[in-house]
Amino acid sequence: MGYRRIFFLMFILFLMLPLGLLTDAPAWGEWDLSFYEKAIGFIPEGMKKGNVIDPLIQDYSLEGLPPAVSYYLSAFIGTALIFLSFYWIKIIRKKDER
Amino acid sequence: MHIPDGYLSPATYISSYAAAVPLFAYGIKKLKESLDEKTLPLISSLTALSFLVMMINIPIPGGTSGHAVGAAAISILINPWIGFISLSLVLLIQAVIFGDGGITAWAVNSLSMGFAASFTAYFSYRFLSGFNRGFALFFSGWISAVASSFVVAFFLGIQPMIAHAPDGKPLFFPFGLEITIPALVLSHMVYFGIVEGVYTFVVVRFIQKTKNQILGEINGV
Repeated sequence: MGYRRIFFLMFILFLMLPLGLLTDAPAWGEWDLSFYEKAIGFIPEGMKKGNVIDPLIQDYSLEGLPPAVSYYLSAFIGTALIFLSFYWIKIIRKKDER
Repeated sequence: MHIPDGYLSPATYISSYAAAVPLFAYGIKKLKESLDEKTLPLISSLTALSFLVMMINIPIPGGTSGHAVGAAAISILINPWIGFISLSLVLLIQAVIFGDGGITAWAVNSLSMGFAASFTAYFSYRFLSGFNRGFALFFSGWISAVASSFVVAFFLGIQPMIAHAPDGKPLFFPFGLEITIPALVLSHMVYFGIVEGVYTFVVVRFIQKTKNQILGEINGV
């Protein structure tokens, strides 16, 4: 026994990932800036600047790769970072204890 | 939704950070206390499930889409503080690596999809699980999505009131509460709350046995 059930769920979600690419519809409010231009006639000043940093993989998509491949790579990277972060917190905890 | 940079006025995001930092500090303390050889894989994989399920966008009528979040499942299985911190970690990775949600908006996003979702789920589950466990799981997922949509709608909807140019033009997110509350909260009541409820039901039911075998009970709040 152990973690088989959780890894099974992770595997199922991995299989389902490409379904997330089927829709182009954004979440409510996460529109392109051109939407605001159309809806209210202008783009609010503060919104024009956009992201404060350049993300590594904007919108889970890597240039030159098929969307599904980018999506899977993003999923692997995200999952790996999550495991590493918790592992790192655990290491800090051990250091605290010493 | 993940609020991007540029949607919230500095007054909003600075106060949201001020409110969130003590909560982060306490939550991380809680997490450190419960993170050991046994819990590490469990908490990490539940958090990874959240990250993955957020990639599965589901379109709804009206031209928008959404997804489950997974905070309720972590909150019920482990602890609401850990649900909050785990989701905040996911949101940080999404913002920094994938440009999904803003850095300035990270605190508000964490307060909505992390804090509000985890704690509403935890308390509704505690209150309802005595009556019918299956329904309690579904409802806790549902209420967590509705509560977090309300927090997002609130922070977005107050922007035109608190930050506008002298001529009245909004400087940040332009739609007020009269638009954000119905649009976000209703869509979460009717669609994404249901998705979250089903996700919570399935994940908790499926993992509970594993969790009990591995950990026994982890202490509550």
